[in-house]
Amino acid sequence: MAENIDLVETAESTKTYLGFWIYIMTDCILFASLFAVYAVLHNNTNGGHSGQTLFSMPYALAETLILLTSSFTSGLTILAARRNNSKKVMLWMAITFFLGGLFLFLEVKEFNHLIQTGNSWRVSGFLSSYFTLVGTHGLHISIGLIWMAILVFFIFRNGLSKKTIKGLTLFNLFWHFLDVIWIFIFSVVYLMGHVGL
Amino acid sequence: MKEKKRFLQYCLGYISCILLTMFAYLIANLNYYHNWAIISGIGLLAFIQFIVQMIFFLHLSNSKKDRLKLYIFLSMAVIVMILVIGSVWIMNSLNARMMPSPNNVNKYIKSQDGL
Repeated sequence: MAENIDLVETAESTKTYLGFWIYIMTDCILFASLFAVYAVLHNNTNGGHSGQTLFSMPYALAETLILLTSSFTSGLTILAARRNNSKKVMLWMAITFFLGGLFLFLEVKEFNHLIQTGNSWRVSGFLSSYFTLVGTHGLHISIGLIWMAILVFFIFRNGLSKKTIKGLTLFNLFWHFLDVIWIFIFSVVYLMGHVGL
Repeated sequence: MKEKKRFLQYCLGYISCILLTMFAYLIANLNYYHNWAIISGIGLLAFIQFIVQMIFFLHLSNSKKDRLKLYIFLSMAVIVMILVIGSVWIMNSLNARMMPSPNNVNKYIKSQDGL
């Protein structure tokens, strides 16, 4: 048991981990520029809907809570890995995957609804920037889901080795980061859009 | 013992994030106050939740082990501030200086008593 705590701690102090941290910080800058675009364009509705009439608040709240919970369970994966409990690791990974998938499903459904009701990204600068910002986040979530599936496969095959634990810690960082970005999407796009920025 | 502390730390972070989210949601649905008060409230709550997640979930701290991570994080924060505040500032200023539409020009001329 003590051995595995060491494995997690060494994985978290490698150069790979620091490099991944730097990647995440640069990804933050990517999202910041998309937020800047949204902040500049959100009033250019071209006579169409604004955020105030377009978004459903309870729906956005449900998405937020689902993603927050999946971020929490992803953290529990690391705690289970520290205890060398590979069954629990798989269980928490499965729950994280399910919640992440549910979140992505809700987001795609929302996009589909917007496009079906004639509010696609072609309509206005506001909608273009909205789809770019939220869509880029959704793309990251999809990549995270694929990564999670690959990780689960390797843990299933090789157990909790040095390599799989390293992958787990990096993935955990990535998943937490996606939830951090979502706080700002929820606050700036949905809540402030609802109030009428 | 340490494991239990870590677990409690995670739970604490999770519960406070839920509370902050719900609180921001309730504030956004208030109609009594001026918009700017509500918007700054939402912004403040988002910032608090950001800090909470950074500390509890991403384990950012000022310990010697994490010092480098913290510095990289802070330089990212500076770049993000310049990027976002700068873009909004410049574009709003440009918007304010844009040539008005013909309709607005006509209105202006009329308001100046037939210039």
